[in-house]
Amino acid sequence: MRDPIPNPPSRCGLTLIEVALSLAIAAMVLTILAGTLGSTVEFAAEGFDRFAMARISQTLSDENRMLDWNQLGTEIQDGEIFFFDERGRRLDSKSEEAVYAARLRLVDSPVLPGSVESDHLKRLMIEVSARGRAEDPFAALHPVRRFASLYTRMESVPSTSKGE
Amino acid sequence: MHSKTFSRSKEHPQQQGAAIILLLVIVALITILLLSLIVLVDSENRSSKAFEESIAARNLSDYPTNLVIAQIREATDSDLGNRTWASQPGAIRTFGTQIDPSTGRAGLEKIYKLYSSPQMIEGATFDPTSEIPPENWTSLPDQFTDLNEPVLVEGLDSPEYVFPIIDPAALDFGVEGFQVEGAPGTTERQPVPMPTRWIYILEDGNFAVPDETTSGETKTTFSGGSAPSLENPIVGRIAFWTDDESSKVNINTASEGVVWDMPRANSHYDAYNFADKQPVQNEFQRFPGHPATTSLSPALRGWLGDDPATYYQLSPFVQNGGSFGGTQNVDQNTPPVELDSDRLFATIDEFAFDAGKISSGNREPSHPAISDEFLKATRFFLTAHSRAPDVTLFDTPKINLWPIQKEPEHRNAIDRLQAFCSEMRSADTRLPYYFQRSRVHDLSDSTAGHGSSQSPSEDYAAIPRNQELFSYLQGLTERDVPGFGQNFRSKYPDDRDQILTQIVDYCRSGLNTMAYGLPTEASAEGYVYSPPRTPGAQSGPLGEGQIIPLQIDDSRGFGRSITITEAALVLHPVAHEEDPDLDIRYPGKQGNHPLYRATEFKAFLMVEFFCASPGLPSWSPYLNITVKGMEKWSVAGRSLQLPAESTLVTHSPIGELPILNRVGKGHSCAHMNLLQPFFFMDEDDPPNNRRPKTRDMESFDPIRGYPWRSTGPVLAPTDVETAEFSGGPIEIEISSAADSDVSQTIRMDFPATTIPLPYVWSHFSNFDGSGKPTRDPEQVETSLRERIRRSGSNHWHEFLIRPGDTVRSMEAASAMKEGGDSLPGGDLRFFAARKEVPASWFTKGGAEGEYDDETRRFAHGLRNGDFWQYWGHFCSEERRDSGLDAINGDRHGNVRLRNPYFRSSSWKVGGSLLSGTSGYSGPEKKKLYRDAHPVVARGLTEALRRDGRPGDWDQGFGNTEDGAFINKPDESNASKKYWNWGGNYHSGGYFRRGNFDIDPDGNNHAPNRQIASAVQFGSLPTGIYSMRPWETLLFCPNPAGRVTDAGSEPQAEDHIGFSFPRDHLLLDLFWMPVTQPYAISEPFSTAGKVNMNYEILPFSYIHRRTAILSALESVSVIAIPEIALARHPYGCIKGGRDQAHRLEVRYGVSTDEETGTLRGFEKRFASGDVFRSPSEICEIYLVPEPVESRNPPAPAATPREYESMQDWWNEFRATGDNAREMPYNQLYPRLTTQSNVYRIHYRVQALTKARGTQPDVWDRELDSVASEFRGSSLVERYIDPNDPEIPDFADPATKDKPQSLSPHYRFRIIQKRRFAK
Repeated sequence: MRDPIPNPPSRCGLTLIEVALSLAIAAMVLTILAGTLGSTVEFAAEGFDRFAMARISQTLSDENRMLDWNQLGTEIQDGEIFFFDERGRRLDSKSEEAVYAARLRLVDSPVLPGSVESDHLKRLMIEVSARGRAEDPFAALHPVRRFASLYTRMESVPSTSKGE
Repeated sequence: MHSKTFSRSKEHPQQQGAAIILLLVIVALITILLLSLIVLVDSENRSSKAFEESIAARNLSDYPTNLVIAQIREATDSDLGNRTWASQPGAIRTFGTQIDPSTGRAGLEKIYKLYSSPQMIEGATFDPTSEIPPENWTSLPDQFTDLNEPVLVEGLDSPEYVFPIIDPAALDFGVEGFQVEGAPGTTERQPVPMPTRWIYILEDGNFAVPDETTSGETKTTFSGGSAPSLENPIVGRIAFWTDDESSKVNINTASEGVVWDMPRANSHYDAYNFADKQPVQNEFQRFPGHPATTSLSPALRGWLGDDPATYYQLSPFVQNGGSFGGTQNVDQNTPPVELDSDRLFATIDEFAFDAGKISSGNREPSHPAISDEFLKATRFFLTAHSRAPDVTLFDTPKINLWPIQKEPEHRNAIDRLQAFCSEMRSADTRLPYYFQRSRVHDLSDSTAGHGSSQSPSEDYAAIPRNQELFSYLQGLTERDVPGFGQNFRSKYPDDRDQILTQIVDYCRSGLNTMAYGLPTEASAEGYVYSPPRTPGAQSGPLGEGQIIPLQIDDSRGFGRSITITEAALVLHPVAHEEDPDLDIRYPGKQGNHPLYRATEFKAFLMVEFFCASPGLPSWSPYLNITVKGMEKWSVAGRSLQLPAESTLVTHSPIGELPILNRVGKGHSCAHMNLLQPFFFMDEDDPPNNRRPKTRDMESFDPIRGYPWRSTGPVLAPTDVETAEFSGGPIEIEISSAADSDVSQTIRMDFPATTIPLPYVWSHFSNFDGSGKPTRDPEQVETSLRERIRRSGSNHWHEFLIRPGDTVRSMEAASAMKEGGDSLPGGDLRFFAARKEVPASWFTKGGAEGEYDDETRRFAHGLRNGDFWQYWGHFCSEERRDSGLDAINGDRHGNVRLRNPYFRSSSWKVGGSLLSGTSGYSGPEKKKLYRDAHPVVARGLTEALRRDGRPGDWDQGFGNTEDGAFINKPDESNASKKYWNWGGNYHSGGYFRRGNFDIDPDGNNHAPNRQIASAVQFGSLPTGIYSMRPWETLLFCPNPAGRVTDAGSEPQAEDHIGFSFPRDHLLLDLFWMPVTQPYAISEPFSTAGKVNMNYEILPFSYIHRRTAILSALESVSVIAIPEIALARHPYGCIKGGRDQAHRLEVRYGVSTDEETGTLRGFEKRFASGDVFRSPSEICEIYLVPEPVESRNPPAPAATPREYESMQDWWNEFRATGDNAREMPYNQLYPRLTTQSNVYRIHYRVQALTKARGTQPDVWDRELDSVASEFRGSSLVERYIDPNDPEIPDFADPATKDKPQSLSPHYRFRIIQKRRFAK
C-alpha cells in the first residue's frame, strides 16, 4: 500500500499575489464605499432633518393658527424656543431627548405688492435647528432652516385697538 | 507524475483564485448593500423633500387666503362710518363723503384688489382697463399664470379637460348673460383664460414682484427693496383671484319667480292673475322681493327648460302649489303650500344629485337633464353660500321694518324670528333695532282693550327704546352719507323729522296690524294691533282697523285714520207755508205750481272724511269728533242754535252699514265714512247680533244722537228770499274714542255771505194740472229723522240733502297760494299729516263763486267715496248735472238713477291729476271716465308741484280711483271672492270698495308679502312743512316731473328726490329680514342677494350677467297711458264694475345690455365706476318688455330703448308714483353691493433655486418648480350679535361719538377645495 501523495499546501491555498490583489480590491472598494457611506449617512440625516423640520414647522404653524390674532403676540413670545425629539415630537422642555429646537419670531406684516403694509397680517418666522442639545441651538455656526407663515386676523377687532 | 500533478491541477481549477472570487462576491454584496442603502437613503431623502415641498406648497396655499382676508378687512373698515365700500368679483372699492357734483356720488378713495397684482391697493387714479392681462401673457410664464388652466383627466369614456373656475361649455349650453369678448391669448383648448400675476414669496415671508420682462425671456429679474437675496431667497410664488359669491345665483334661496303685485288697475292681468291668483302661504316664489323670486332659469334654462315646476322640485323648501305659479285661482279653501323637507345644500354637487335616490351605489341626478357637464358648466354661476350684510352705509345696524310687540309674550313665531334678526345683545340686555308697539288686543282675552294703536303717543312715549331709535335715525340723517356725500338734514331742513315720523308710523300702522291664528305665549288665537274685526268681542268691532297717527313732538304720521277735508253747513226747512209768489227755480219743476216757504229751519253739519291710506283691510273710524265754535253762526242775525262744543262719536262698523250692501261700502277707500255719523252700534243689543242702527236725529247724544245740529228751530225771516250768513271760525278736534289725547285739530273759517233761505220742495206730481197741490210735501223735506229713515240702503244721495236746502261749505283748497299763504295745492295728504290744520288751507265750497252767489242753493263738494263714483254725489246743482250724462248709467247703458238732478257727477266734486283731463264738458271730459276721478281737492286741474312740474300721486288699489295717498301696505288675502257687478268675481276685495274678510288661520299672513322693502315709503310726502305739495320720497328714475333724458344724470329740478343726497339713500337705513321658509336672514345679513356690480376685475372681457338677469326675470313694470282713463277704446283702467278688462298695463323687463335695462349697468361700468348702494337700482330705468298682445303699442316716436325711456314714460303719464316705484320694491331687497362671502381661487408653487444661480433672478431654465397646489377657499365675514364688544348704536350717550360695526366682523373659512387630477 502506498501513501497518497499529499497536496502541497502552497498549491492549494491563496498566493500572496492573490491575497494582495484581493485586499487591494477590497480596500479600494471599501474605501470608495466608506466614502459614499459617509455622504449617504449625511444624506440620510439631512433627509431625516428635512422631514422632521418640515413637520415641526407645520406643527407650530398649525398650532399658532388656532390662536386668536391677539394671542399671537401674547401666547407666543417673540424668540420663544421649543424642543423636539428625533421624530419631531414636541418636548415639554429641553432634555436629553431633544434633537431639534424651533424658535418663533413674530414679524410684522409683509409689505404688500405696491409698497403697502397691512394692519391685518403678521408673519410668523419658524426657525428650526437640528442642534437641539446644543447650548445655543441657533448659534451662528449651526445650520438653521427658516419657514415663514402668514397670518391674518379672523376675529373682531377689539375696541382698544381702534382707539375707541 | 507530471500528469498527476497536472491532473490534480485540472481536478481543482476553482481552488485557484477562489479567494479573490470570494472576496469579490463579498465586496459585491457589500457594494450592493451599500448601494441599496444609498438608493434607500436617496429615496427617503426624496420623500422627505417631497414632504417638505408639499408642506411648503400647503403653507403657501394659506398666503392667498390670508392676504385676501386682510384686504377685505382693510377695505371694509368703515373708518367709524365715514366711508363705505362696494365689492365686485376681484375687488373692493371704498368711497368717502366728498361728493362729485356731476354725479352725486363720492369719488373712489381706494380699490383693494382681491387678485394678485403688483399693486394690491390703488387710489383714485385706478383704471380698470389697465388691469386686463396683455395679449402675450402666455409668453410670460414667470409673470402670469392661468388660474383657469384645465387639467386633462382620464374620464370613463375619454380623456377630458377639466377647468377649475369657468368651464367654456357654459357658452355652448347658453347660460344667459355669460359672454367672453376679446379674451387675451386664447387657444382652442382654453377659450376662457384667467391670467393672473405671479407674486413671489421670499424665505422670510415677504413678497417680491418681478420686473417687467419681454416675451420669450427666460430670466426674470427683481429689483427694489423686496428683491430676493442669498440670505432671503425665493421659495415660492402665488397667484390668486377672488370671486364675489353674491355675483352668483344662490341655490339655497332662489327658485323660479312668478310675478305678483297688488292689483292696481282694471287690467286683465291685475284682475285675473293678481287678484284671483294670489300667492298663498308659503308660495314664496310669488312674494314681491322675496329671494325665492330670483330665478334659476337664466343659468339653467339650457338644461332644465322653462317650466317653473322643475325649479321648485330642485329648490330647497320651495314647492309648487297654491296658485301653482299664478296659473290657478285660489280662495279661502286653498291650502298653504306644503314645504318640502329638503335640507340646505352645502355645495353645487348636492344640488345636482338627489339625496334620496341611490341606484347602483351612486346617487342619481336630481333631474334627468343634470349631468357631469351640468355640474362643471354651472359652477361659475351658482353658489350655495352667498350672503350680504344688511347694515347702513354708515356701517351701523339697519332698522327692521317689521313692528313687534314690546312684551315677548305677545310675539308669535314670525315676530320672534324677525326680532332675532335685528337684535344685538350687550351683556344681558337686548338691543332691538326695530320699533316696538306698546300693547296689542289679545284675541283670547275679550276684556282686553284696544292697545296702544288708539293713542297718538303711547308707542313712542312709553317705550324709551323707540325714542332712542328715532334719535338714532335723526343722527344718521345728520351725517354725510358715505359713498355719496351730503346729508338729509340739510336737504330737508323743515321736514326731516316729519319724514322720519311718517316712516315710523307707516310701519307701526301699516304692517302686522292683525295676526289671526298665529299663537303667542299669551294667546292661542293670536293678536291684533288695531281694534279687532271679530264680531262679538265685548268691546264690539268698533273701529276695526283704526290706528291713530303717531305723534313725535311736532311731527305726525298717517296712521290708519281719517282727517276732515270739508265741512258743510246744511240749512233744512222744518216748517213751511205755501207761498204762491215765491218763484224759486228747482229741479224738475213743471208748470207754474207754488212752492212752500220755510217758516222755520234748522242747521246741521256734515263733514267729508279723507283717509290717506286707502286699501285693505277695510276699516271703520271710532273717533270722538268735537266741533267748537258753531254757536256764533247766525243767519239774518238769528243764531242757528248750534252747540258751542259738541262731540260726535263715530260709532259703527262701516262694514255693517246697511248702505249699498251689494257693491261695497267704501270703507277701503279714501273719501269714506261720509254717512257713518248717521249710524251707531247699539251696545244694548246682544253681542252676537249687533247691527248698526240709524241715529236718533232728535237726540244730541254723542253716540245715539246727532249733536252737530241746531238745538231748536230758527225762525225764517219773512218777505225775503236771501239772508246774511254770519260765518265764523270753527275748530274740529279728532281723537280716538278709546283714548282722550287729541290727535288732530282742524280749523276752518266760514266767510260771511248772503245765502238763499231754505224752502220746501215738492215733486210736481204733488200738483194738479192747474198747479194746485194735491198732496202736501213729503215729510222727508222737513224732517231730518225721516230723511235718514227714507235713505234706506241705497238712496242717501237723494234724501240726505234735498233740493230746498241751502248748503255752504269750506273745503280743501286746490290752490297753491292764497294771499300770502302757501297752500297744499290740492294734495290732501297735507291735511292728514299736520297735527294742526290751519284755516287758510280751506276755501269756499262749490264751484267758483257759488259760495257767494245768493242764487245758488248749494256750494259744496261733498264727495261720497262709499259708493262707486258713477252713482254721483249729493246735490250740488239745481238741475240735472250734465256730467252725469257721461255716466251712462248701469252696465247696460241705462240711466238708472231715479232722481239724477239730486246728484252731481264726480266731475263736479272732484278734480284731476293730469292736465287736459279735467273738463266738465267738451272733449276733455271723455278723457276721464266716470269712475276715474281722482281723490284730490275739488277743482284741481292738475297735480302740480310748486315749480309747476307734474307731481307725485298714487295709483288707487284695484280699480278704485287714484289720488293723494301714501301707498298703504297690502294686508289682504284670498279669503273671499267678491262679485263686482260686472259678472266677474275677484278675490281679496281689490275690485270692491270696502269688502274684506279676515284670514282666520293666518294662512296668508307673511311679512314679506306685506312689505318687501322701504321702497314702499315712496309715497310719503317730503314737503309737509316746507309746503311743497305733490312731492314724495323718490325711489325711481322716472318721476312724472322729470324732463332730463334717460341718458343723462337727473337734475334736482326734475325732482327734489334727485337732489343730493338722493332720496333712495334713505332705503339703506331699513331692511326687511327674510324669515321664511327658513332664516334666510341672520342678524344683519341676508343670503341670496345679488350683487349689482357684476363686472369682473381684472377679467372685464368675461361677462357674467347671469345673476342680475335672475333677479330681473320675475320683475313686472306697470305703465298706464292716459288713454286708459277714458272709456274707449280699451275700457277705463279705473272703471267700475262694468268695465271689461281689455287693456293690459303690465310689462316684463327687457334685459338687453345694449338697449334694455342692463344698459344702465353697463354705462356705470364703462365709466370705470360701480354701484355703491343697492338703492342705486332706483336710478336705473327698467325698460318694459310687452308680455301681452293687449299692451297698447308704444308710440312710434319713442322707441322702447333705454336712452329714450323718459320720452316713453311721458306717454304713460297716468302711471302713479307708487306704480312707477313698485318694480324697484321687487328688486331692491334682492340686490346688494356688498358681499360677505368670497371664493379665493389660487395657484401656488414652491420654487427651488438652482445652486450657484443669481439669487435675484428667476431663471426658468435652471431653477425649478418643486411643487404646485391649486385650489380654492370660501371665506365669510360675519358678525356675532352676542359679541359684548358691540356697542349700542342707538345709545343717546354716544350719539356724538360715531361707531361702526366693521371692527366687530369676524371671518371664517367655510370650505377649502383642492383642484387636482
